[in-house]
Amino acid sequence: MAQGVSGDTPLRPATRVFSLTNARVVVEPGRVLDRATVLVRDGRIEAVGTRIEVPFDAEIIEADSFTVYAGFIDALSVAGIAEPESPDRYEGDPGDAPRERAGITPDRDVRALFNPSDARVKALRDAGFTLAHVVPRDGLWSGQGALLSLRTAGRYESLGSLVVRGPISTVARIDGASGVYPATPMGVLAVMRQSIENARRRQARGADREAFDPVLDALDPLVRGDRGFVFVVGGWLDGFRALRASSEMGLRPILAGVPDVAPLLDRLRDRDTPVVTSLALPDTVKADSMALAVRPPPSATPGGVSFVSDRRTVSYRDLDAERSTQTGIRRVSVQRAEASPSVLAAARVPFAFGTFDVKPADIRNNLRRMIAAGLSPDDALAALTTAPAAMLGVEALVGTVEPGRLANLVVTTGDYFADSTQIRMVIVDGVRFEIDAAAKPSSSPAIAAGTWTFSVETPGETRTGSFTLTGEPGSLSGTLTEGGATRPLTGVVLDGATLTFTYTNPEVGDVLVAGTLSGDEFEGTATVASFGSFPFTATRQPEAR
Amino acid sequence: MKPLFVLLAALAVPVLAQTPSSLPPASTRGDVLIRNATVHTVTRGTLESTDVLVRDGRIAEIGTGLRAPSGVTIVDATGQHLMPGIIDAHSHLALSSVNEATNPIVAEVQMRDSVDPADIGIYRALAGGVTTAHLMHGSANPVGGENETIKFRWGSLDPDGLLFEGAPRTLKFALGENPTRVHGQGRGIRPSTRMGIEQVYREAFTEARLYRQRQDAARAARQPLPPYDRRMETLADILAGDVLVHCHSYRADEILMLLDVFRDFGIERITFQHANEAFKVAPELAAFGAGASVFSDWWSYKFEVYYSTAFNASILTRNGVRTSLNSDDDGMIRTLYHEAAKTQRYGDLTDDEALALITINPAWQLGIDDRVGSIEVGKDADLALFTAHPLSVYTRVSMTFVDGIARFDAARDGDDQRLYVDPSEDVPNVRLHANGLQGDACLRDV
Repeated sequence: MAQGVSGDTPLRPATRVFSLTNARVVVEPGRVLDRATVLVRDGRIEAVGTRIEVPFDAEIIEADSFTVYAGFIDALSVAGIAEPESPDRYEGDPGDAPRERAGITPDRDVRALFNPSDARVKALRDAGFTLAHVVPRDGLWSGQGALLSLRTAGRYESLGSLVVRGPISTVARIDGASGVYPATPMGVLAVMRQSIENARRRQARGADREAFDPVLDALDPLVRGDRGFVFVVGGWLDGFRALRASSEMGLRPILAGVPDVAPLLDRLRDRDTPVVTSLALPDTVKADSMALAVRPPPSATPGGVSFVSDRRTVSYRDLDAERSTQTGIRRVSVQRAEASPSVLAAARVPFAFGTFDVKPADIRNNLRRMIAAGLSPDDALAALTTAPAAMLGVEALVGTVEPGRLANLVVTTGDYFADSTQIRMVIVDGVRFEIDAAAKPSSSPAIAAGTWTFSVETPGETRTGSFTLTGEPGSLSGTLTEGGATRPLTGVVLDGATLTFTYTNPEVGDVLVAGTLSGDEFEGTATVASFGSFPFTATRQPEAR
Repeated sequence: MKPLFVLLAALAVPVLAQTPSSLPPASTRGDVLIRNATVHTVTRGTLESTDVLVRDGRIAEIGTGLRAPSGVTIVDATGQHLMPGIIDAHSHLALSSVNEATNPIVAEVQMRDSVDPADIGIYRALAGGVTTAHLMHGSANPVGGENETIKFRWGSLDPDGLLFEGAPRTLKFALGENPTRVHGQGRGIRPSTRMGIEQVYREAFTEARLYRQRQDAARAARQPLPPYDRRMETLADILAGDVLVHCHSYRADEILMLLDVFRDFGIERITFQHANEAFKVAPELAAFGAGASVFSDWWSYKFEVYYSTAFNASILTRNGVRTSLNSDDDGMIRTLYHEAAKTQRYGDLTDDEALALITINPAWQLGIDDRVGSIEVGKDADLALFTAHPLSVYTRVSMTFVDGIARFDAARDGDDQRLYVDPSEDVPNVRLHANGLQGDACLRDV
């Protein structure tokens, strides 16, 4: 690690003692203290409570109306690690390339690769992350991961002080080498099995004069059980392969990746395998009305086969219908990815969130999509704090707002998962980072007012009409016109981009409409108690000039 | 106005299509009574108007007037033909990668690490009466990887669910133009010629013999084991007779070459794949006890495949060589029964001889003939039900059973049988006609 000392490096603050007073403190998921004070001294939390006496030497930060969370922990990260360059064509014998070219680098230490000035480090910190399990980006034996503080080093401070825990993990990926052995997943797994077997044999031999072997030496702590084993995979199929190979190698993995965990769920549960779930999600799908009608079959259970049944196009020549069906099927598969964390939570598989393949700007929106798909906010918060702390073996050090923990904190204007909430300050090791709200790439707040035309898709029939909303969020009202009759709306609520309202249709009773605003588009469902939910979409009409 | 919601809810009646989500898990074994079929046992003749009772995934009884124990589904097969599930001894179906082409010897890689149970090709092959396939490594290297024999237990996303439990290990070898092109011409390393290929084998087996001796000596002396080499382990297992070799080959001279190598190293079990010139050396193959797995009538796609004949399978059969017909193709695997029928036009094989080419003979070549390949009591209930004689051009598959479970049923065939739709995959480009031909699957990933 290079020294981070330059003229631009900020000086240490005059005092390293401060208190956040009168804040709403989320001590851990589900445990909240109102009007509480958090006292920080020398990078650690010294006291938390409603009756804390702030000592004379503490700077007071008035945090009335703010919410304080434990700093988020990124369970698997590549922040601060340069992207690998795509290698040139290898001119020698591809069956015998240097091991670095082949990706066999279990000796690579992430501490030597980490650059805290990397833009990704700041972007993650701005989203609330304070500590990350950082790992090398590539290679089948990628190297060794470490727990690193997501901040830059202060003046007269070595970069080494950002390391909270030294090598804690060995990272494996089913990544074939480009143009040299092993180039395929099956080659990669063969190499892994062989190197682990040889690391064990070397250990068993215990000879006093073994030839120097950087690969086997680096794998030694792993086969002794002194180091975590993280297997990074792409999808469920590689997940099956990684789990089988791990069990053949006698290793217990933490599985990272797998956007839709349902196919693997039973296997994960059987073997008590912890999971690092990516905060990345596939893009949402724009769907027409026919596509919106595609639903997952009621028989599909978590862990069962992900499949959409019973879609029969009228004729194989009806390409539009087929295209819509395919779009709808794709949309359902995206919904399954959104629901994946909630499936893990329901099955009580330990899981934590990782940022290894997400664009930091997407993190909060993706969390909202996961919560909308069924993940409880407490489980989401746990997967950002207590769960990764436990998974990485540092629950005594981080993950909650309690005395003795590292002073890693997130200060927000409210519920972290609400769209309107802003992050005001992130504290890492007691070092404060103010988040400039003005510079925040804030999406313009959703506006509900206006006249909208809507359509409800019921099986085989589309009902259309219009509704008009007036007022500001907090005092919205409106009417809905359908079949020539105009009726008042009740319970009109806009929370972030989520709009809900109810109207009464004398034929079917109360109809609850709920969905998401995006510009002039609204997508959601209309729910009628005795009939079920139906896709409901609306478009705002341009205002008359 | 009627309440629309009521009306529409009533219209949403589910279609009675078989869907992958309704298929039982791979571990399920079925019970079924197939009644009144023409049963082609392949090994014990053809039985008219016969019932086959399946209990717990195995054939329990064959006879007439059989009664279904309670809870056993009855399939009325009157007018239909039942044959053993078809076995394809050469396929690259349902694999995520086929060739680890980076080295002339890759005996350490295993196709079981590459099996993709969601490949729609499995369902399409089931619709052609196929129940088992030999998923092979490609032909880029003289010594390829370990193949995998699978059962088409369509519906499981766990790749291990498809593995044919207890099937012997098999390994891919390749002779001729593919390995010399990839390594010799492509990289300037051995093998550049057929002579070079022979030397690759002789050196590899010699080294493997030494490797195994050292490991065994350390074990016997209770000393710490020397370093482990999976490549050498697998080659040594071939020498020990624990792994059956399936060798991609075309020309008669290279086939004789490998027989000589095997004789010198004491290896007994080998099946030559493709083997378009095998008919020239049929007596030699029969004397060695080698098998041949050939195409019915496919050739001239490269220089070494010009000297070919549609009589190949028939000549081999009549010379006492255990012969099978394979597809090596995700499309042709659906019509292997037509391939078998061609041997009646080219060589006048009997019905049983022709059907054996796609059932008991490939089973023998894969070492699973005690489990599948014929309709006999005690064997696995891997069965294909046809609307007409399976060697007729008018026949269609109506049902395919694996372990007694109907994994294909033409009457309940839904529009979309995909097991898994990847959320990050683009929506398929829907159009009326597919265009473009698939490449040579033997050289995928090279």
